[in-house]
Order: sequence, then structure tokens, then C-alpha cells
Amino acid sequence: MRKVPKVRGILRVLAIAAAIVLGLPISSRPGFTRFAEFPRFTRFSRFAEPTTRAVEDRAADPIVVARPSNLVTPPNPGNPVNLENPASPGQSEILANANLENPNLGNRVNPGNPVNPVNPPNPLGGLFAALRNAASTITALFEPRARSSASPQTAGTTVAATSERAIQPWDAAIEQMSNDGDLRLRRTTNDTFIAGRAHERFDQYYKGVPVYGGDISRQTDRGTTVSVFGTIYPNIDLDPKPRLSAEEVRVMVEQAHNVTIGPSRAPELVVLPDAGTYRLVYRVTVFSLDGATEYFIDASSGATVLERDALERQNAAAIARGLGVLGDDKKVSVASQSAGPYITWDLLRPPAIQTFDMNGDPNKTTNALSGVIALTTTDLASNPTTTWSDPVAVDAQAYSGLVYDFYFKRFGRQGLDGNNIRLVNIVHPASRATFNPSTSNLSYYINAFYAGGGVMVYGEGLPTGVLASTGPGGTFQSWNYLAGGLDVLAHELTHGVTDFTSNLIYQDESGALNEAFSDIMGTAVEFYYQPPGTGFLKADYLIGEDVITPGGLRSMSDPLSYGYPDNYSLRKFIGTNTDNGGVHTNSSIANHAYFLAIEGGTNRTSRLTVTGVGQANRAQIENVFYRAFTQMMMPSNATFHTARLMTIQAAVDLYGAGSGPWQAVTQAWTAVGVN
Amino acid sequence: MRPTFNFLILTFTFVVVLAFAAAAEAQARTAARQAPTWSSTIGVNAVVQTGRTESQSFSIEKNLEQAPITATLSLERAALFDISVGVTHARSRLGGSVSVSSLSRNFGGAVGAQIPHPFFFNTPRPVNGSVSGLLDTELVLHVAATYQVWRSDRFDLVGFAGPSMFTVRQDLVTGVTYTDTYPYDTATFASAPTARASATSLGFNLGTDLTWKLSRRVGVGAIVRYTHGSVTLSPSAGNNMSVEVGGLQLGGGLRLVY
Repeated sequence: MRKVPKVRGILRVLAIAAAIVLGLPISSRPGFTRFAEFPRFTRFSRFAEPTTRAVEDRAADPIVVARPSNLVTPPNPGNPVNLENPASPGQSEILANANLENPNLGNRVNPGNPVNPVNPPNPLGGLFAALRNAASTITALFEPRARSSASPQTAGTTVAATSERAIQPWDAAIEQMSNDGDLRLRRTTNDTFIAGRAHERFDQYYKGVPVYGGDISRQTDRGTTVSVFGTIYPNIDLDPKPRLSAEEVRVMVEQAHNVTIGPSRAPELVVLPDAGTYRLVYRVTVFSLDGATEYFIDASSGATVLERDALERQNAAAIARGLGVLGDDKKVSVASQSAGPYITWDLLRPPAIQTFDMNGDPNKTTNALSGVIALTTTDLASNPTTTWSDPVAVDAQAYSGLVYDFYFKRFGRQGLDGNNIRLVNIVHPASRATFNPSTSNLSYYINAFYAGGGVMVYGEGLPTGVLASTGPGGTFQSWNYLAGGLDVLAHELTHGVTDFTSNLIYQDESGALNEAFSDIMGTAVEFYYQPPGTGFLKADYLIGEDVITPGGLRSMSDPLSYGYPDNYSLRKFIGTNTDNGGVHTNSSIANHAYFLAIEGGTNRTSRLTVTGVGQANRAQIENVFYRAFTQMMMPSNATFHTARLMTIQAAVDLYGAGSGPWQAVTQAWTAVGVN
Repeated sequence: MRPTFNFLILTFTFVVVLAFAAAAEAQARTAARQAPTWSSTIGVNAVVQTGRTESQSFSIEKNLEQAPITATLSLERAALFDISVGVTHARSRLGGSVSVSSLSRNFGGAVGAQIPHPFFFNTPRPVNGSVSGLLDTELVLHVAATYQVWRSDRFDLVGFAGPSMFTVRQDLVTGVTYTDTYPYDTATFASAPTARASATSLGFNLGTDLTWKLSRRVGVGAIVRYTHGSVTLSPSAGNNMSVEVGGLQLGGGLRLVY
């Protein structure tokens, strides 16, 4: 019974090994490598099959990881048509126009457009009529998605009101919906850039159950609304009482996936927009040796409606260099104990910043992330003297502090949640000594990820001699300890900021924006602390270049050279499960816009030239993006078009219309094809 | 202005010496007139000594780096109390004297430091402040050979020179306290802890003393003396400071001649 698959497996390994030796692309399985792209459960076998066994056969040769051909193929710069998603750009454009100022389509979806006789300024009547119309409009505009999984991005009504005419009915609608319990104020934050301004974040509820992806952000200026952005899901009609209890679902998931779900990860009942309709589901995140997966379980049938990779990852990897990581001497804020060694517990900064050492035990890491076990001070990285011997703990502790400092000094932000939530670093989640590409959780080696709640995990990197074909053009790269990359830590911590602000859904365009914002802030942090240049410990526009060598994972200045799209017309994987709909792949579009807005230059695909604000004024662009992505609380379902509008609005807020930053941001988005 | 302790001592001593002088004068008037081979003199002086400026520089460890601290201390001119006993051989005019002087003064100064940043190397934060109420006491024993340069019925002018032994007790800065808050890019001076250090060393003195004899036994005099010594004070471990003590002294007082 088992011999056939075994023989097939051997043949497959031999074939792939031969392909590696001959330099042929391995395209039969589309998953592995760019680590955010490997989709869940099969990714590790993909990683393992063509590599380890082939290498074992080759004795002392370094282990090489083949890069799937579908990922190494760079987009054709000269071909602006995205063959994989030919209709997508137009669709998004229409959607955006429909919900903004387009007088024709907008009449059906804009609740307050006074020229629409069907939707008079009476906000509530207009609102719900608009929402009903919006759903049908959007449904009509979009072709069915190729993937079967549900996506909240398919049915919502996008709100982007910046004019008085558009704002007024939404103000009334927010008030009415709040009174009805359909909107709940999650948080109000004061604007740290502009005195008197505040930002409110409302979550949509349906009969007491949160609507996944439904939220509204409202910017006010001394009580007067300046803008409203968000997504509202209309026409929800379902029984909010689940047939299955959260406990039943927890047991089901545990049994189905052979995991343990701790009390802190209990399933949450939500309304999930699903292809124009709605489902009452439980949302639960599971950590295991395979990684982390977010499941949406039907609250009646127990069926899995949607599952996706839950790790907001940094695509990165590294090779150890021994003590000192990059050889730089740095200070670390730790704590001394009355008895016992020093521990990595930052007591100087407002939040507690702690670095836990899992000592290479992946099971412990998984149990800790799943909430099965609680970490204590004895799990903190420790040292008998103040001269620390573990460079990984040093970098994780020091860099996370520096990132906190950056957000505080640059933006006045107090931690990930704005309220100094504890920052938890987890290092040595697995051991290089026991690395096995067939069985190891690769997320604990060649990745870093934000696990929610202020917890970051930094991968161990790959053992000496193990390379991954993750570089530009499929070149092989070494992966050092990921905690050694300042931009890596800033990237992951920024996922935490996003988590507590815009909460951009980690799928498709909103997921790409989520990733882009992390890259943008990661680079901003580099330039804040390091001198510009090339090489180690220098600020540049490469992502993870200090620990993934040579070259890092992505280039913000020239995405095409790394096989990433530099233009919206080249975006990939939208609507698919690959890379959660291209969250990493398409992040380069926004990344490149950020680069162009600062440095200026010409987009290789559109040939459009941007006049940047220049290095000396880079803080202006950082402020603009930060404001748009966090303070103005970009909606969780935001598209690139929304990001364009909000960053431009942020530039207007901060520097005025017609200002240099406004011009640079506007030109940059246009150059990357986002209009 | 409140009288200093030195001033009170000086006044008290002056009164006592004046009483002794009156008694001696009375005794002298009744004694037979003889030509002495040796004469002795007791002198009590109130003296003003010039001030000095001391520059203290040391460092302490803060946040894994050395924090250099400097203090510029201003020791203003001060009054000191001096009492001396001298003998002179009449024919050769040579003689010797022993005197003790005591000085006590309060002083203060400016303190500056470069406090290392807790998160970064080579990113010091300057703090500046002042310190006051420090105490300096100097007790000096002067031993001198004397020569009577000029002598008349009314005036004696004596030159002298010799070794001096200084015993110095002085407060010095031992550190800096400061306040800083996150993000710790600046720090604010709070205070400068001090400690009292003492040391003894040998120096020298030279000068001249002019006595105007109001009678055979009693006179008044003026003294000009330059004295100098160098002591090393160590208020805290590794915090050593060489202090130049003494200075130009100018004063006057009573003389009793026997």
C-alpha cells in the first residue's frame, strides 16, 4: 500500500536532484522559498524533497534550496499587462471611483451624494440603500474570483469621504450605527502631528458579533470630521447564534490538526463576508511545527471556510557568523536580579522589552506561541555578567528597543499599540544543530514573524553551508540569525503597529500594503540609525540585506531586479492562495512608490519620472506614510488605490496641497501605476 | 556679615595677647635695664592669603563608559590666624622662628560632566551645574631662619625663610548626580557629591616681618609671607588631585618682645 507513493517520492527526489544539478527550473510544485509565499501545510515537503536528500547524496556539497520557477520568473518590465490578473486593475479603479467621487457609480454607493435623487442627504436611509446598491454594484463589477476561499475584500462598501458633502451623511450614519450597536468605537487616538486632530476607529458588529474586515476610521479636527475611510458590509442577514460552541470548535481544530490551543487563543465568533454573502464563523489561529494558520470555521457545520497563513512574516534568512553577529558593539538594556544572572528585560524604556530564549526547542516555541505554556523570567535570555555572550539575544533586545525609540522620536508613538504594550522577542526558536528541512518548522529558521500581541519571533537562520536560492534571479543566499537585521526587527514590529491600527487584512492588496508598510518602516529605521551606503550596517533600500547575503530579499529601489513587480500593472497572485494573494510580492509596488517619493527617479515599467523630496527630507515621506497607515487608520480592507488617496491626504494634512511631499507622493503613486 | 570662626578666634587671641603684652610692659618698666644677648618675640597676626582656582578632572563609569567630570573650584582669598615665636641673637642678628597658621574657608565652583547614553556608545550628554558650601582648612607649621635686617629703637625688620609643613583638609567633587528620562537623549544636572580629603606635605616659606615697638616689650607688626606647598588629595578611588596650597600672605598684629 505504501510502496507506490514511496517509489514516487524517490523518483521525484531523483528528478528534482537532477534538475538542480542541471540547473533546470523545478516547476512542478509552486510553493517554496520566498518564505512568506509558501502556503501552509505542503510547503515544508516542497522545501525538503528537492534539497536535503539531493544534498545528502552529494555528501559534503552545501545544501541548496531550489527556487520554484514560478517565483523566480521576474515580471516583464516591458509588458504592462498583467497576464495573471488581466482585469484586476480596471476593477479596482472602478471600485474606487464608485465609492469616492465618481458621480455616476458613486450615486449608487455614496450614501450622501446630494445629487442622487435616490439617495438624499438623509444619511441613514441613504446609507443602507447605498450599502445595498453597493453590494450589487460591486458584485456586478467583479468577476468571480478564481479561488474558492472566501475573502472579505469581495463584498464590502469602501468608504473614502474627504469632502464636506461626502462626510456629512457618514457622520450621521456613524452616529446612528453606533447608537444601534452596529459600530463600536474601538479606539480614539490623538494626532501627534497636528494639534487638535483625533482619529477614531469603529468596528462593525452585527447583532453583537464583529464583522471581519468591517471598520471605519474617522479623522476629526476639534470635533469636526475631516475624513472618513473604511469598509462597511451591508445587508447582513443571519442568525448570530452559533450552533457550535467555541469550545467545540477548539476541540475540533485540535483534533483535526493535531495541535493544542491554549486559553489565550480561544476561537472568536465573527461574521465573515464570503463571496457576496455572509457566514457566521469562528476565527482561530493555530501555531504548530508547520507554522501558524488562521482558520475560519463555520459555526454551524464546523467546516473550514477559509484558512490562511497567519504569520506576518519577514522574508529573510541568514548564516551564522559566530559571536557578534555583524561584529558591532552595542548596548543592551537588561535587568539585574537580586540573585541570579542578568536577564534581557528592558526596564529603561516605557514598555517592558523582553527577549526570551527558547534554547532551540521548537516544541517549546510552539507551545509558548499557542498559549499552552506561559513563559517566565527564567525563560528570558540571561548572562552571568553584563558582557553578553549571545549575539542573537543582544541584537533582538537592542534592536527592538531602537525600533521603539524610532517610533517614539519620529512619530511620538508609544509602542505597538500606542499604549506601551510589552514587546516580546523570541530567539533561538529552533536549533541549527537539529535543522532538517524535511521536518523542521522553517518559520523558526528562515523567517521572522509577528505572532500578535506584541510577540516577535526571529528565525535561527540556516546552518553553515546551507544556502537558499532566494536571491535575485534565484541566486543562492546565506541566512544569518534574523535578529541581526535592524530592518528585519523594524519590519516585524511594524506588523504589530499595523495590527493595532489599520489592521490591514493579510490578503491580496491590503496584505501587500501591510507588508509594504513594514518594509517602509524597516527602511526608515535603518536610515534613522545607520549611515547611508552599501554593505553591513549601512542604510539602503534593500530588505534584510544584513542577514540574507548577498543582497537581501527585496529591493525598494529596483524591485524588478529581484523579480518583484514595480508597477501595479505587474501585480501577481491577487485572489489566489499563493503568498496570501501576493502580499510580499506586490508589496514592492508600494515600496517602490515610497522610494521614488524620497529619492526620485524613473519607474522602469511606466517610464514616468518622479521628483523626490530628497534624502534630507526623507522624514516628510515617512511622516506621510506613517500618518496614512496608522493615524488616519487606513481601513483594514484598503487597496492600493486607497493607500494612494490616504497618503496624498496625509501629505495635504501635514505639508499642504502643492507642497513638495504632496507632489512627490502623488507622482510616485502615478509612476507605479496606482491611480 | 556673620563673623567667621577664624575671626572670633583671632579676636579672642588678640585680646589675650594684648593682656599679656600689658603685663609684660608693666614688668619691663620695673626691671633693671640690661642689654640682652638673645631676644625673643611672640607675634600674633591676622593675615589675608590670596585665593586660588583649582581644576579637578576625573572620570567615573556610567553606562559602561567613562564619564569625564570636571570641576572648577574657586577658593577666594581668606583670613588666617597666625601665631609665631622667634628668637634673635643680638650680635649676629641671626635667629629662628616657628609659626603656626590656620586657615578655614568655604568655597564652591562649577561642575560639568559628559554622561554616556544608556543605549548608545559615544553619545555623551553634557550636564552642567554648580557646587557650593565646600570647606577648605589648612594648618601650616612654618619653621624659619631669621635675620634681623634692620634694627632701631622703634623698628625691627626681620627677613625669614624655611620649610613649611602643610596639613590640608579639603572637600572635592567625587561624582555627579543627574536626572534623565526616556528617551535619555538629554540629562539634567542634579548635584555633585563631595568628599573630604586630607593630606600633609612639605613646602617652604619666606618673607619679612616689620615690628614697630610701641614700648620696650610691646609693639605692632606687619608681615608679608609667601608660602607654597603641594599636596595630593584623593577624595575617592582613582580620583587624585594635586593641590597647590599656600600663597602670598599679608597681615599684621601684636608683638611681644622679651
